Amino acid sequence: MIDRLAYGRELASLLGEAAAYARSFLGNRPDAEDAVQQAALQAWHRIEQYDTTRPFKGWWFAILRNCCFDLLRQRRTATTRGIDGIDPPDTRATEVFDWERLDAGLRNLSPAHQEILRLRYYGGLSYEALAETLGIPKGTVMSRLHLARKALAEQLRSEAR
Amino acid sequence: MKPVLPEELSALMDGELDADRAREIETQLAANPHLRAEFSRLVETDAQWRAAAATAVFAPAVRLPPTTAGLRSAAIVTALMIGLICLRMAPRWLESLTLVFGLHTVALAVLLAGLMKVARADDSERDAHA
Repeated sequence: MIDRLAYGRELASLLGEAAAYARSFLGNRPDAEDAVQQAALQAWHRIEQYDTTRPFKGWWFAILRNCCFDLLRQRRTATTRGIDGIDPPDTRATEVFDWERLDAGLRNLSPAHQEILRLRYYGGLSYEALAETLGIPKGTVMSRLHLARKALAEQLRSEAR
Repeated sequence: MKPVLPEELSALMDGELDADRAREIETQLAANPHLRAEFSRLVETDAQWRAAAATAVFAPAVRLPPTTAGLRSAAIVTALMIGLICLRMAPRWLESLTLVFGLHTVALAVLLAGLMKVARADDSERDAHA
């Protein structure tokens, strides 16, 4: 178990990646900030449940992922929007390959592939942490991540044509 | 030597293969230009995607409730300040500082006990809600 002071330190080290992941997941910065704040508080209340033999980042991102799903559900209930509840940014306006371009490619993949690529690229999760967050074996992480990368590369190639 | 699985190339790039298997694959990469080209493509796209993902990073404003340790520090600082005020305001007839230090210790103990109690009650309440 880690105490709440140690939790604050651990949290500070992953906030930037958490924000990037949530922004990619939810499609905008204010919702991403809400999700990260909610996850930070939920984990703070549940810190006694954290098993120190497992990766902290994987445990914390599992909470963040749930918060993102909850926010997305609330948003879907509140209003009817585009596919996946996200307003797709106009990626054709810019030639720069930034996170919005990456996201445009991600949105056309299967949910499982989107999920693992977001956690890997935005969250910076290791295979062990990915296994913890997604609740799958490490071997499955390896094969799923590879297939997801292949699918994204094909998607981006077809968008470029 | 075992043939290289496509997902093993990804794992090698991510530094997630065990050392023995990584060495085996590196040997095969050195001997096989097609495999090497495939690996180079993987590395190149991975670098591009990581750079793109990095543009989404920002620092969110996150607020956490105060910890009991924070309250403890606040109590100590407050008690020290009370002690200093006592020292400054002590009547002249109070030749000995013993009483002032005594008062100071009592103030510190009371403040600490009170704040710890409040903090514990607060924690329990929040945990019950979580």
